[in-house]
Amino acid sequence: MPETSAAPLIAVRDLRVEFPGANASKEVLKRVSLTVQPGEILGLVGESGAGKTTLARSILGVPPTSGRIAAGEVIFEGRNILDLPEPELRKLRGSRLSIVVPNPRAELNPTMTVGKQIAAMARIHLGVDRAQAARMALAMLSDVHIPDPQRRMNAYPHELSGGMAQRVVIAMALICNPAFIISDDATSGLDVTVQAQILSLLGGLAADHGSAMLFITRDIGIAAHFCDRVAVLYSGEIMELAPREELFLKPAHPYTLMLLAAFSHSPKLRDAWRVAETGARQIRDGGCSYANRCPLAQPVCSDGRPPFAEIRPGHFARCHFPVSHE
Amino acid sequence: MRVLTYLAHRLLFVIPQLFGIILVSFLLVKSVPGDPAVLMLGPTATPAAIASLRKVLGLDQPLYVQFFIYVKNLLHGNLGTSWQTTRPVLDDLIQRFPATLELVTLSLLVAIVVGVTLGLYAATRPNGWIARFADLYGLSVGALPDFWFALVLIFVFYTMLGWAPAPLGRLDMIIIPPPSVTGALTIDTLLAGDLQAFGSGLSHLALPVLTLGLLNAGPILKMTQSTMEKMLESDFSRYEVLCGVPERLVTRHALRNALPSIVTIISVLYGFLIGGAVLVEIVFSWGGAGQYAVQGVLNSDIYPVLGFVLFSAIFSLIVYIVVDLIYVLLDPRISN
Amino acid sequence: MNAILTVENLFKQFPIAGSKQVVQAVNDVSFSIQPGETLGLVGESGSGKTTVGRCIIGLLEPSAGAIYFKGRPISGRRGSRRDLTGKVQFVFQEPAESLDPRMKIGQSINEPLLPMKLDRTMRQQKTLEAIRLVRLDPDMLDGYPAELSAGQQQRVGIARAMVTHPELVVLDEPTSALDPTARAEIIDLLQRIQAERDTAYLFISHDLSTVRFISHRVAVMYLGMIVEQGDAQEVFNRPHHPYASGLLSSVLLPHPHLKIESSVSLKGEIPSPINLPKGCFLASRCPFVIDRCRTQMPPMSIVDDGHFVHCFRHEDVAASVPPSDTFVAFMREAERVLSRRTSTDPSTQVHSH
Repeated sequence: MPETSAAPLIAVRDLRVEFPGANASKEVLKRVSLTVQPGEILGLVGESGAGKTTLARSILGVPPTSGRIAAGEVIFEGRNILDLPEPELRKLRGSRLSIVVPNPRAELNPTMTVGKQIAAMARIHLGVDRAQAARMALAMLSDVHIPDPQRRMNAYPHELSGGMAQRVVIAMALICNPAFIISDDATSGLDVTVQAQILSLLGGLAADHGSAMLFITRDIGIAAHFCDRVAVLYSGEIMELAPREELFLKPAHPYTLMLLAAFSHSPKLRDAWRVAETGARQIRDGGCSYANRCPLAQPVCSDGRPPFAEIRPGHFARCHFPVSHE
Repeated sequence: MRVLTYLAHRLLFVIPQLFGIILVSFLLVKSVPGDPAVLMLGPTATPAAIASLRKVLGLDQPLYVQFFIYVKNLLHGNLGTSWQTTRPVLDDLIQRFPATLELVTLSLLVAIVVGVTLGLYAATRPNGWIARFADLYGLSVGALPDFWFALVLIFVFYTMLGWAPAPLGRLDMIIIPPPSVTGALTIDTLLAGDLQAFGSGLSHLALPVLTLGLLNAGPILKMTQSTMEKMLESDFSRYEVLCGVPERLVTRHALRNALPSIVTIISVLYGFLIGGAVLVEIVFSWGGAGQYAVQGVLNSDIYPVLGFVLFSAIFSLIVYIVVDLIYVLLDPRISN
Repeated sequence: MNAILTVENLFKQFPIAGSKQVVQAVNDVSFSIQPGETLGLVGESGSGKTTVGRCIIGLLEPSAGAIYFKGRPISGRRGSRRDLTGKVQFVFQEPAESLDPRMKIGQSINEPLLPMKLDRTMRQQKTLEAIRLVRLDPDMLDGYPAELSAGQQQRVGIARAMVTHPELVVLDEPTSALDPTARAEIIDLLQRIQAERDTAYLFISHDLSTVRFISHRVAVMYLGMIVEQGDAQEVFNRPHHPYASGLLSSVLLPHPHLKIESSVSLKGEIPSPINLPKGCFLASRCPFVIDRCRTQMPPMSIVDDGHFVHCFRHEDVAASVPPSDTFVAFMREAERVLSRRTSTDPSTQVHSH
């Protein structure tokens, strides 16, 4: 992973996460590395099954059920947090490193009021007493622009709309002023006007608090407007990483091009970048994981895993034949 | 407020539920083979004597008339008379039911403490030795008959070690029972200030309570373990972990969500044990209601049986209402 | 020209259990669809668009209003769906949920044919035809839904809808659960089928860019009402209703420099469909609001031939931003950027596809 001039706030190095499979374990994340600079919003785009949620949760040391972190490090504040004992790690989670999850109504405790759940974060991590925590929770609810915050404090998750529940989860993630926020598909399933508000809220709060963010999404449109740098995840690997303008105006990896083509609704591009939809993608060991769908694939692509090369300053692509825009 | 409206709602339904239970029990009991008149008069009775006794007992009337008479008597507080004890069934039950209730309640408390504690441990430390022990325990306890287990305990603790008193009822022979207030010896002896009787009652309760308690801890353990495992795997528990909530709090919250299932099985056990404790009652000569009802069945003495059904039905209904109230309190999603 | 489908003053209310209140899901909706045309029905949650779709397909009975298929009523007391068998079909949002997991693919596709009293050979033939239409391998007919990807499952859903050669297909968010690549494939497929068979579509969706490219006409719904209706390109290039404008401004195209210009940025949440406000439903959130809006429901104004809007100030809304076809601009940009496919590695040749 290239070093930038400033020290990164958080660095993920060669993270490998496995899930048990029928015969052998399945590698869902294959040596993923990325860094996030202080105050930066790094976007991560990928389709379903690419490993986005696995990555989001594994960075915090809690891979999804039955997953296992096989290798890798997450360096934060000078230490590898994956090596820390669980109680130490829990102190970091929610306070210095927090996550905004999708489908909040499923993730919130159904038998506790949302006010209590937000306040609990303050009590657990900041050690404040019950009254102070309640005040902080109320203030946070106002900050996330929930209408009628006093009444909502006593609401249960199932009584809230999707948009409001999402705001609650954001409030929980931000109340302890974390240095780093992971937003995992935080706007999926929301109405587009609500999504616009949530995005502006998240961006604003992150800027106010000086937090860095890893913004994970399926919608590359959001990444184009919201993130400073964007990484593209495919089949558990980062295929391309570039500053926003570079990625969208000069995309290099064939997968990125295919994603953009799909979003453009252009019939011309569809034929050019058409990919045969296969039922089960054969995962070939040792080759490029995109090789069996890539229209530019050559024999060498199945043999060696392409290196993550810097094709232009700050612009990286994992491809033997990255597309040039000269 | 929603609690009170819910309660009113439920109590309204109790009457038709009871009526249905009585009707079905009546028909069932009547369909059991065995002619009470024959049994009462013995094998030497003449057909004429039997016929006249049947007339006296009202057994020659059509079934619906008999039922109607029975219900009419019920409403006057007359549950009929047992021809075995020759006393009104109501009096018999008032004497015996508390004995069973006391036994079953204490046993259930033991079962809850053992079952929930072990279940919690097994769920939070799935690879520890407690989890393995709990699996074995759950398996074996389901296979053991309660009267056999009772006999084993008697053999070990009475015959061999001499720690427990003889399994002959609820008190030592020489102790005079306290005045009956609730019918439960543990309470009545304390109310009367008779500590010696209290000690005696407790020591007699030890083995039967241990028997029923340890055996019925099995299903509670299993239910606690499986529900807790599910809760700990659920989205909201994992989210709490992601938020850095310490483990004991995550467990506490998960338990709160698991309680409805655990409470359900406890309530089912409670209702079941009122009659289900009968074998243990017999082994320990407890003089409880279950024993009474079984005698009734064996001797075609229908009124004790029906009386017992009525008592335990009312008891179960109360338990279920209380349990449902607990649900309403526990889960804010249930109320409308 | 005889419209395939005409909806007139459709209302639908749902009673709320334990209360005298009702959810006013659909409030006075009228539109028509011509043969071979796609009408896009867009809106957010609570807009009533799904309810409209279900009323048309017969899953729900309207509370008031009428639905006509080729001029004949199909709803209410006067209506009859008997002659409709196979002529109007439905595609669901969640492909995995709409296919019975225990039924073979072939059986699922075959299902709509059952009430049509065809013999077995005919049915098999039509099923084969349908699966070929969606460009899936006929061998899949013996497989089960779980073996397919989400995109393939949705193709099966479409095959099932097309097997009876319908004249109108109602599609309720057919691509929302899919990844972008599968989405593009499905849209391509739908357009191809329409070109071949002249099928009319009612395309219900909240994904504006997809609607823009597949629809001929579009109707924008808010709280059960159609606030603006017209030619898709016209409405999207220059919306006349503040809500339509606000909706468009929330769309984020995958191009850092391209944004749909709008003078409307909608704040707040959508009000509850239980207690609808008097006057215009958008009044509480609308930057163009005047006093009249709060007390009077704006009547229908005709902007152009076939272009209608319900807003007192629609001319101001249209004038506030110059017309622009940002969607097409993005498409052209994408074509420009993505057409070059040569490699930077000097040791390889230029490939053509």
